[in-house]
Amino acid sequence: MSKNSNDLYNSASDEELLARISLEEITPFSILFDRYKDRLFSFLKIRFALKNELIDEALQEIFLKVYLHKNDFDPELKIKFSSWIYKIAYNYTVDKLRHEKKFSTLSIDLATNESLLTKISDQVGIEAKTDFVKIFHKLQETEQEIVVLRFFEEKSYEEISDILQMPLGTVGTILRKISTFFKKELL
Amino acid sequence: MNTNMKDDLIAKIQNQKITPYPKYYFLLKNYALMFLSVLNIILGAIAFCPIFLYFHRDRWDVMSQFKMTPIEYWIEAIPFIWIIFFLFFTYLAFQSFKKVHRNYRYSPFLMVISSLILSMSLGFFIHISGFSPTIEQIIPHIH
Repeated sequence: MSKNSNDLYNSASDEELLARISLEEITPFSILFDRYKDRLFSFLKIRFALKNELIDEALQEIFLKVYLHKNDFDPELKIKFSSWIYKIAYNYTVDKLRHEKKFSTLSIDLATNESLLTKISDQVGIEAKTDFVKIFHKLQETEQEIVVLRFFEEKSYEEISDILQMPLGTVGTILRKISTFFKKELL
Repeated sequence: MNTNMKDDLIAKIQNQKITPYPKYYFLLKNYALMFLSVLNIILGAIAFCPIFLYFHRDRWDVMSQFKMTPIEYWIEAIPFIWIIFFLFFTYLAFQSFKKVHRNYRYSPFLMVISSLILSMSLGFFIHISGFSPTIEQIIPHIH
């Protein structure tokens, strides 16, 4: 591949790269892989508290799914590629964990993630991180997921709606409920 | 993180000549889900016809014959099975409709209400067209 086409690909949007993927033209896939592997790795690490080897295994399957399902992505539906790939990663991991019963319940690895804690604690306005962890664990599973997506992954309401496949209004309602819950717990 | 992961995956794709699923595969899946939604709306409408019939029947003869009070008769004659069928098909219509494209974004309440209204309207149309007794006869002994 020439340097020019490589530059062209590097400046292309995720959606453009996805559209160009084929068995004969695998470079766009390779670029998308590089763009998203770390983000998905940390998302799976935090959300599912998986060991690194399991995340590697999951990432291989998730990216293979992205390749196989690339024609399922419809730009006309105005869904972002990032939401689409997170949705694939989320659904795949939930199905896999439930199927293999590797974990009795889904868990979020917050306590061990200092940078995440600092970030979210700052945003929520809580000084003591331990307070945050305590309150966080009182939330329901979906609420915890939304906190991670909103404050750590910095996803918009629309993106959260697409990733978790729930109505936009429900995302807003849950976030308001979480905010009220935090305020009440901190009083 | 395994640094060879990308190369291993690309090698697997190229060695096994794995190609993405064609566009029509996903289109067919969506059409199948839409078809299921419509089918369940129709089945819901069919299940609704005997419920209409129940509200339109002349009960006085039966009530006097069995010496039942109007309340007893109403409770006895409620077509529970048809109501369950009707709600079941409405639920299936909602479930399949939700999976089409980005329909999960709509309020589940609105989707269920829309399915109910569509099935009831269609059921009413079938009923006023005179098909309710036929439906009850085709699927007998369900009450």
